[in-house]
Amino acid sequence: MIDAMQMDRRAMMGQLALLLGVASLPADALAAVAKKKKAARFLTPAQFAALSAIADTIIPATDTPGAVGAGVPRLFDGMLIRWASPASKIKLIGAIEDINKAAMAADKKGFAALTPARRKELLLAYDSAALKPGPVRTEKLNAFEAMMAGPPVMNPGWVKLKGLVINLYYNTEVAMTKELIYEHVPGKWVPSFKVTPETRPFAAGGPF
Amino acid sequence: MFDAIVIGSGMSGGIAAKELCERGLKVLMLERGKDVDPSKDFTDMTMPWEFPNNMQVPEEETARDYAVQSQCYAFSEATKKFWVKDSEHPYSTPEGKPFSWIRGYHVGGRSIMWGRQSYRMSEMDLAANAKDGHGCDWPIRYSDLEPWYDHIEKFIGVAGDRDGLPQLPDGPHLLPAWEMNDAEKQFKAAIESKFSTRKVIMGRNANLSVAQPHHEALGRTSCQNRSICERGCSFGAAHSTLSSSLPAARLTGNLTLVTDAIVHSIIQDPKTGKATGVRVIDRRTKVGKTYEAKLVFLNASAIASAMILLNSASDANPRGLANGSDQVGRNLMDHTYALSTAGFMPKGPDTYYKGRRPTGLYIPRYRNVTEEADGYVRGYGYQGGVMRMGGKPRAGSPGLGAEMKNGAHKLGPWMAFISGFGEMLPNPDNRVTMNTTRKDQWGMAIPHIDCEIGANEKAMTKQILADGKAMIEAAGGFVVNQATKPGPPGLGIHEMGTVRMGRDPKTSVLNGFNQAHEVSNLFCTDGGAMSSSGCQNPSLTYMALSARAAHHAVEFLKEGKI
Repeated sequence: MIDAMQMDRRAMMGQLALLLGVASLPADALAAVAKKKKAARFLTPAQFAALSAIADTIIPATDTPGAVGAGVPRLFDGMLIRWASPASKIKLIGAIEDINKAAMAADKKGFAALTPARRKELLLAYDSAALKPGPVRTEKLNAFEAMMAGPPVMNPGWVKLKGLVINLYYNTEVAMTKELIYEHVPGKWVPSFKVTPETRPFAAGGPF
Repeated sequence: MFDAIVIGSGMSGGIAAKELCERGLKVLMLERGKDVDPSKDFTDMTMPWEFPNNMQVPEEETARDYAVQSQCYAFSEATKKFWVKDSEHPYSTPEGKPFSWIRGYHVGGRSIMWGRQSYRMSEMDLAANAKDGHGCDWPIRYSDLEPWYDHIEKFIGVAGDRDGLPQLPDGPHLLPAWEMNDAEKQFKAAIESKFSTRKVIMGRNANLSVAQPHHEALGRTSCQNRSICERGCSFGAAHSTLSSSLPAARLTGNLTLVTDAIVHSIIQDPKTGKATGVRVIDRRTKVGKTYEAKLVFLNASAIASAMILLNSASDANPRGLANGSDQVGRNLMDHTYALSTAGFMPKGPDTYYKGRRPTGLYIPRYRNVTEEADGYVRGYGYQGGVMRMGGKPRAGSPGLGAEMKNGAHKLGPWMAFISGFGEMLPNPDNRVTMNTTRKDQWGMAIPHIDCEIGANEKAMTKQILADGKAMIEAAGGFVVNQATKPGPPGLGIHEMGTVRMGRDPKTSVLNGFNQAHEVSNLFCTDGGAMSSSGCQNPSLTYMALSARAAHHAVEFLKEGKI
């Protein structure tokens, strides 16, 4: 029970850490990112393939579509084009590249070239190492950020990448309505009903 | 020539204009921002997956244009259009003393995005300054406000229980309250049994739990439990200027609304001392114009209303209009905010709920009411709730793949969270002044906001956090996250006090009718008028003051007193 509680605590903290800003980056790295702005697709074909393999490993197809089936790699690329700051772009792409490097080091192949089973094996180990407690942050946080930050982890870049894949997937129509339950206009507030084995969580759109 | 000009179309301006119109006055409502067409501008009918950026505003745009506004919980891709660009509407603060001024410049102002928590101040709140000597005595008491609270609660529609608490009065027109979920009922029972002097009640909110005929007459319908109110409510179930006061004002045929009209200053006739009208600058063309009226209602919001008075300085009034007391701009207050405690509740019930309820729990003030305080005056209340976790996995939680995905199908534990809102004392050094060197794009001095919490608020903060932890634990939970200090002043979005009411013209700006001591036909009924802050969400009080002042202003006008 104690372990489960600690996991819950870390789970909450880790999610909140996504709200953090990022550290400063070298100017040439920012310039390289800026040059890519006009490409129809932000990621290179190799990066896109790696991202697709990573996203598919994080959220595979089951009885519902997985991240790839739900279009997450395309949405992710769109976020790089429209949403991510240069610093976030570098962090997210760096996280993809780092997983590729880990695959090369272990199997002498890019991550996308591995079998799904091997991808999962490798990424589970990577995930476990990445989420271990990390060094104390050096960046200054305001009161709200400090409240939301939670304990630092070894590899915040991975948390950012994994978190964006998860967020994008669970904001798709298929995930909100097939994996979870979403009603845009619930109508009534039902304060209590008995949970059954079939009860699934609502995809949140508000505090309750 | 209008009978009255109302400066601002937000929470208080909407009510002031409606009340004046309904009493037969020809009213000009001036709004500095653009018009809002609910059918086009509200985003509440857009499905979550239809927003291109996963509900997030691009990071560079956020940093460049919304560095302050983005601190507000309600800022998102869905609501971006309702917040000012900080880059276009600058203000200054002293080094090391941040103030988060959260604003929306458009018809309806922040009444579109507000949190809708609606609480009355009590006799204790209105007597607090007189009792402990902070600030100046309110010139009114609860009995002055009570009928106007009734009036406003009926008109806007406030859901809540008649809890019968002297420190948090209620009224006869409350709509049925939302019901607590099972974990909240358990939480309430635990708190009230272990702390016999505390109460856990349902949050009172300005959403129509059950629309009444007078609401439906304005095109409003009952709440659909979506809890996306800040996007604008196409059902009209959430009170805003657009859903309620503006339609009511328009029904009279007496309202003229002019948008994109930034009020520069109020014009005073040096002979009579009365306000004769206002100078405005067109937001788009920057061309100036003057409007005249017999009455002026200042409802621009606390900081902006003070700035308009300061900017209305003349030879006769070098410190600004109605500012013989030198109190205009002073005594800026907010509530201490973001003092949250969250904890898991391992013994929660095996039930769930359906729908997204647009309010939560409320724990009314008990410090210096039913329990002593640890070295400070006044007190605090908490907003919160108990919700069931589960669904979307967390990136910081180890695991991935089908196990993680299927795990998301399971309901998680219950989590309780309560967030303290502490009363902030009026302090004349917390003030808004005109920046002497920087001007905005319309050539007006930008506000310089110098505000920080004091020793009383700091002492109170310690007890807010200690009590928060103690209550979560008393209800069987274990705390997983807690703030260590309040957010920057302003982030509570309850700024007030800069044009305060009082009995003495030497120490206050407005009298007991919200009428300027020095300018008989000038009224201010926004947050600026507040002599003290209480710890309750203040909008209901602004609206009650607005309706009351409008009533008296029209009486005075009829009697030839102004």
